[in-house]
Amino acid sequence: MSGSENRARIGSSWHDSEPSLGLGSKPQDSASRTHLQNGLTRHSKASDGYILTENTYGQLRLAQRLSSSEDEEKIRSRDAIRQKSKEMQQKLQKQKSDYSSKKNTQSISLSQPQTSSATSLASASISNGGAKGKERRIKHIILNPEYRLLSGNETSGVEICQKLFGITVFEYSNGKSNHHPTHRDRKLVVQSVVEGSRAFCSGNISRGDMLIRINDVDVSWRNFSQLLKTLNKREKVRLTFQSPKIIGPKSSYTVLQVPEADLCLATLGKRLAHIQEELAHLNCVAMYLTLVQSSSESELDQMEDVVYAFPPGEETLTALRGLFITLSSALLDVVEQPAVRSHLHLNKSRIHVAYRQCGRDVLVFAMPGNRITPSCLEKVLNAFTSLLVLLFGDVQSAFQDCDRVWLDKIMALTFHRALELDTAHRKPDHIQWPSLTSMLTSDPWNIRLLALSSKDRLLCDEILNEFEAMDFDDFLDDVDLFARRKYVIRGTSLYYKGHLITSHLFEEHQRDVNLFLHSHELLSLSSRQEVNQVFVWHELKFNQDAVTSVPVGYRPCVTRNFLMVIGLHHYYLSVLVEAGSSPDQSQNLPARPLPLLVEQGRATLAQLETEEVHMSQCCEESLTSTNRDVVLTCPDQFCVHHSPRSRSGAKETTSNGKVMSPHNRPTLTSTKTSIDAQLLSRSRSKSADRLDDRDVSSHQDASIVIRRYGSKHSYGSNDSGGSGSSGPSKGRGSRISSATDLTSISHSLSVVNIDKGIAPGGRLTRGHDNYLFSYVHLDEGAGVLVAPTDLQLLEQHSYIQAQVLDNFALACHKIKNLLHCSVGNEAGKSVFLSQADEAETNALEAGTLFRCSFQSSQDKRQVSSLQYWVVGRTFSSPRPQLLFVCFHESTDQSMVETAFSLTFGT
Amino acid sequence: MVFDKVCYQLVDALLLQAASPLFSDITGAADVLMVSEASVLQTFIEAFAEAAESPYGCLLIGGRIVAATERWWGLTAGELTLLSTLLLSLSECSARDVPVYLPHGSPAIPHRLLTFELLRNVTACVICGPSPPLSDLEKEISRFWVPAVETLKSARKTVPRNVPASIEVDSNILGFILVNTLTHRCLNSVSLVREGGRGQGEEPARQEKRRAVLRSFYTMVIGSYFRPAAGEAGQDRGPGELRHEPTDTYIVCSGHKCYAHSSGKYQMFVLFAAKTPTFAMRSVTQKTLNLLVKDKNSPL
Repeated sequence: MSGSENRARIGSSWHDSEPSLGLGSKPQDSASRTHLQNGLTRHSKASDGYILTENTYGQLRLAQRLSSSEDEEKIRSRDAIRQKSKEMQQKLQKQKSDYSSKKNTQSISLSQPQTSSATSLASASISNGGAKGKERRIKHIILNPEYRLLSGNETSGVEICQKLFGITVFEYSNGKSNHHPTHRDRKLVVQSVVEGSRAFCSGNISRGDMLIRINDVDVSWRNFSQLLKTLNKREKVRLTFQSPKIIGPKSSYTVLQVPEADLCLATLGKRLAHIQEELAHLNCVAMYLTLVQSSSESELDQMEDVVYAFPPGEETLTALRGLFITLSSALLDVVEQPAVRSHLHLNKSRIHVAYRQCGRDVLVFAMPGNRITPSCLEKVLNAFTSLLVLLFGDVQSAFQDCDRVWLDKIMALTFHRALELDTAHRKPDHIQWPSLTSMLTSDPWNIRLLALSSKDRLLCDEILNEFEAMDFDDFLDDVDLFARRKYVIRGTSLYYKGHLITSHLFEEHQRDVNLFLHSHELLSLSSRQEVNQVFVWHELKFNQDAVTSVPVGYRPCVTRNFLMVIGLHHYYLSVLVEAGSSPDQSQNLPARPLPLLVEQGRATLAQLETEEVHMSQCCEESLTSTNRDVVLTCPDQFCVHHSPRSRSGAKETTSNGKVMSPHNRPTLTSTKTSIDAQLLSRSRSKSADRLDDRDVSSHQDASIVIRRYGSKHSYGSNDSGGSGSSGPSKGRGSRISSATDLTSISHSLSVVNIDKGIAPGGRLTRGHDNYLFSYVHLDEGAGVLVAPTDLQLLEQHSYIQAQVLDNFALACHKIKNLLHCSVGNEAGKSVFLSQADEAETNALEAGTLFRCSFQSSQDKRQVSSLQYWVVGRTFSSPRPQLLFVCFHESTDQSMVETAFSLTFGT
Repeated sequence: MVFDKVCYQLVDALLLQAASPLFSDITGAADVLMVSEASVLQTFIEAFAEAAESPYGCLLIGGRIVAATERWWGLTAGELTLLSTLLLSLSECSARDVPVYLPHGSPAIPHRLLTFELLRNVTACVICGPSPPLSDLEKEISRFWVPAVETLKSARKTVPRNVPASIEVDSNILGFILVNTLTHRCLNSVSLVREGGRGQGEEPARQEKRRAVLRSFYTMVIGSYFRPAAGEAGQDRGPGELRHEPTDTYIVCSGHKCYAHSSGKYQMFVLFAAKTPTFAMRSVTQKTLNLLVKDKNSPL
């Protein structure tokens, strides 16, 4: 009640008492607000429909009351103004330091570090505060200047800089007297970053940064304009910034409240209108059409069948809506199957259309054929409808009830992602076939799992468990205790930079949460920048039908589920909260989150970054390290060289084994040699293992080694699963661990290969103990995905490998479609084995052998070739899972068989 | 009147193509039969065509080409498959004279397709111009074909195995399609193993199922991995999107396993029993392919 209001009052009075300086008077106008920090712009809600938010969320305060939105807005705008003026008026800081430290307001010192006792006290008590601020961070940012924006008659360097880079430099005295000697010695300070500019997209430049070098030339006001004018137009410019030393806690942050906030601007750096404008050129539309007559007035309203259309200005395709709705509903009447997709040619360009029939209405997506494949479009539509169902219960009510502005935003994000608007350099009329990573993210239900050591994962599990227990009675007033009872935490999951760290959610819920985060582009946001400002509170409508076989006389109470996502640094904590377990409360629940939960969630995330835990370091290591359990090998090593003249001879060498001609060695990078050495040492240690079992026959020998490795691994990971002893993590911990068991594949592959490799000779000594090129493990039931990191793939980088990986991704797509189609469902049956018995048509495994041949760069007559398998296999129990492996052709299939069955204990 | 009836039957046959014993409609290649008497029958048909003053002569057993003159093989793939489909769709009669347009050879002027049923399911046919009337040629039948009756009868026994009994195919193979993409010939079979003992009545149903599985496997692989034999590769979402050339592909289902192999001009699609080990399929397929292609009677 009084907390925020109080604050508001204090804030305003504080502000009022402030003398407004002529210097920075312009930004004080809250309506003209090109003011940003951490890549986020704050706007007033009235003007643009999204929230200007900046509050002083103090970790010191135990419970923050979120008051009504109006009040909050008032506070926020005041806060913003306050902070702005604060930064402008460093001169006043000394006098105010006492006050500001009490208020935890961010204060930036530019030239003279000030450490008043009160401030340092405050920063010490805040965990994420001052310690890091002590070092002056230098950051280099390379930008492509936008010369086309220059008109040629810019006079000041400030103007040029703004147009070239989108960086507005703070002009002392509004540029009038910048020849004044005292000003010329001043630093160049970033006042703001123009939204939508490249600098904005990079997300690295914040207000208050000092520009110290351009292309490694020291810059000041003296040479600023001169330097900018002499820039080479062709080249990228390297800007060096110095981050200011921040005194006091970095406690103020903006809240990106989903669903209210402007997601487009925050996640893509573009405004909604901007995206709509881009889309308008692209022959794409999303429409929700209805056949139901509007009962109210039967005027000649031409557009009454269009319930919703995006982008708003689209006309060509909108005019065809009669065709779409007729096609979809007529098909349903005639063949009792709704239309799935169709193509149409419009002005010689091909357009794919996908349909989703909902009762008497139809949702239509149309996108240009040169930007998306039909199957992808179908996926996009699928994901979108699933999201609507998740958030609103069903599609119809979603379009009737929900906020159009929100729909526009989500639609803009969906289209932006689907049509890859951000890749400006793409060639027209050429569909970019998905790379491995894009394939992995194309399915919005799945998320990559971060490979953490079991110890670290256990730590995360424990921290989450503590939060889930909600056992903070000791610190609470009675009032808060009572409020807490309204909510029960059903589970949590933790993300880092778009990767899943650990999940305590049920599988289907995890999938839903993944979908939510993906479709709001929050995951990609977190991998780009810190997401301290993100906060989500949204009701989820789970499918209630899942509860079956209710005993007679028992009425399950109606509960509501809310998803809460809190961002901190690069983490997201997603919490599934169940409300209304007591029947009388279920009806009129507050739409607002319980402040206590928010705060505790934030504290939970903060725990991950304490001295002892420093989880982000572990995560970064895991993201960047290439020294994994699963070691991939480079396809280059397996190329067989032969010149076309001696074909027959070449064939013999193929069958005999590898011919390692010196010609392929130069293609390997220098880092490769060190890896070779590493492989070598690995294989040596394993060969010692092998020798122990030498007396057994060779085949048995192989299996024994596999088993030992496999069991060791599964033991280790079971350990991590079981140790999440209390609460819900028990079963779920082991779920993740089954995925981590994948490591044993490579082990078994490589270990067995040593047994084989010794006989032909040479493989061991060269360290070629590994046939595995790549793998993807997709736990569809749980929405978890394990794959080598990009960095790991980069380590082995070569031209051939890139091709192999591309092809692997494509083949995975095909295999995945195939395996999906043939598993039961009606639609799939027509694709494969329509006439055969259903019971016998469940596809379990599919594989393809590829051959690539290419000319060696050194010798044109030499043709190299490489053969490799891509195999995908499904596992139906306990959850639907898919495993794709890419390995060299010479691998014994029986060995792969062993590896498959070993990994999952089937 | 007669003309109409031919069309009806052909339309029926086209509509029911999924049930046809031939694979020519999906492979775009003429179904052939591999018989050990191929060279003998070749001389018979060549002599008969000569008597009919026609370069186009062909001998079919159960709709599959056993022997044909060189010019007959010179017809385009489309013409070959269309003729096979037409011949299979026609009702049984001892002799027939049907006007046909060859879409590639003579799209405007009709030729006469003369067919003679020598034995049950055994048909000799020639394509000729206006000259020898049907009645004249019918009188010649006995002169030309009576000496071949025994050979024809033994050749007919190859159906439905479609491969002479002398060639031993791995017992795990339930059926296969072998397509030569250059000459547009297709050898196939779904009844390689004689399963004596338990219910002979089930055999046709089982064959029908195998055929259905092979057909759908073929269409799946051709659509996504291999290029079609007929050469009309107009699909933009076909094999063209793959960076590397797929040479083998397989799928394991709960009831059976399928393996496809492509090397040079040959494409081989094999249906395996479910008990076959997955890793063995590659070598078995390659061995079988060699066996069928290298045989001296190989029609491919």
